[in-house]
Amino acid sequence: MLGTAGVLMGGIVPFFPEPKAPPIKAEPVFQIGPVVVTNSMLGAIVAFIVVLLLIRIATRKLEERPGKFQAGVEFVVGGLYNFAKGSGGTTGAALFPLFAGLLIWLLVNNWLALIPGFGQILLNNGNDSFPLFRAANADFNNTLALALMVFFLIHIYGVRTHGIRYFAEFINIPALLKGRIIDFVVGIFHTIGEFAKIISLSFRLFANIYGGEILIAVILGLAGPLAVIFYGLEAVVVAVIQAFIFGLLALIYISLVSEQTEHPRERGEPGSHAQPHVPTQ
Amino acid sequence: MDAHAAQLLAAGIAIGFGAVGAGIGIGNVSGKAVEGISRQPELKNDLQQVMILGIVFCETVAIYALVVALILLFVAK
Repeated sequence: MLGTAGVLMGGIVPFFPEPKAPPIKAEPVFQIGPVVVTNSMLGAIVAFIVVLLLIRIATRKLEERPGKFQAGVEFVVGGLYNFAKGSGGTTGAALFPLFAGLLIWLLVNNWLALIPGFGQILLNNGNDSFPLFRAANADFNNTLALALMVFFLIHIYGVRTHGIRYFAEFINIPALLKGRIIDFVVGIFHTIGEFAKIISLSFRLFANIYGGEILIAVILGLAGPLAVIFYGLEAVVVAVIQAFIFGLLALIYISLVSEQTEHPRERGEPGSHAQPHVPTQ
Repeated sequence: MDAHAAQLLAAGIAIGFGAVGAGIGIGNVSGKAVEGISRQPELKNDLQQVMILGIVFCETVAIYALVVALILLFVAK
């Protein structure tokens, strides 16, 4: 069976470059001063341009009575806004730009890399050739940078909400002075957990996208371009889920530290009466 | 067994056992979510969101295993 498939594909394969799993490091393309520009950075820049074009197209002709296209865009953006408001708690609406920005950029990035031909523009480097563009999220530097950004945002929001007392959650000096050693040790575990957020956020995105690229290259080598369609469709779904998850986790982490620890109802904050009384657990 | 064969074997074992744990976790999470939704269909949206989060955290474990396997295959010499 595989043999016949191989013969059938034989006519098509030469049009495609030799399927090769991308190396784990992005290849440098050129250098501006001390900055080495790699092919994944070029891919990220292309994604930026595509996002800017999308924004331009979506907001070019805004009308009071939206046509079909504008209604579709408003439906998507409004859905994202309501989702951010629903799952972000009190700060959900304020965090909507971060959530939607991360989601849209990551999604465009992941989808661009799946377009046939995007990774097939090859550059010659002596006897070795490498692609000009590479999915930015298949480079660990990019996902690590995004995860670090989210990490610092979490703590900036934490300090903004709770003041300097925010750090008592991690290095619990007051508990140590009162002799509660266990609370202090729990704080140390919280600190480790915070750094684990960087690792899990960055590795989740990187490994999903890079693993998808390797899978596609392996299937392409095993069974030819027709079989790869199904794995490509799976990669399309994974791209949506991972972009969504990254934005959602950033939203949830930040909204968790932005919640006031004091119960607003007990302080008699105005506006809390408007909500129906819900018994706290 | 030479070093390269041991590397390949280790990569396979790493991702295999990692996937077992994540698979059990994801099965538990989504099974319980289905139970909850069938009991209270009006909570479907809330439960779905929590379910997706739970699945993602389970999946992270498998991703760690995948990273270890990738390092064994491509980085470790």
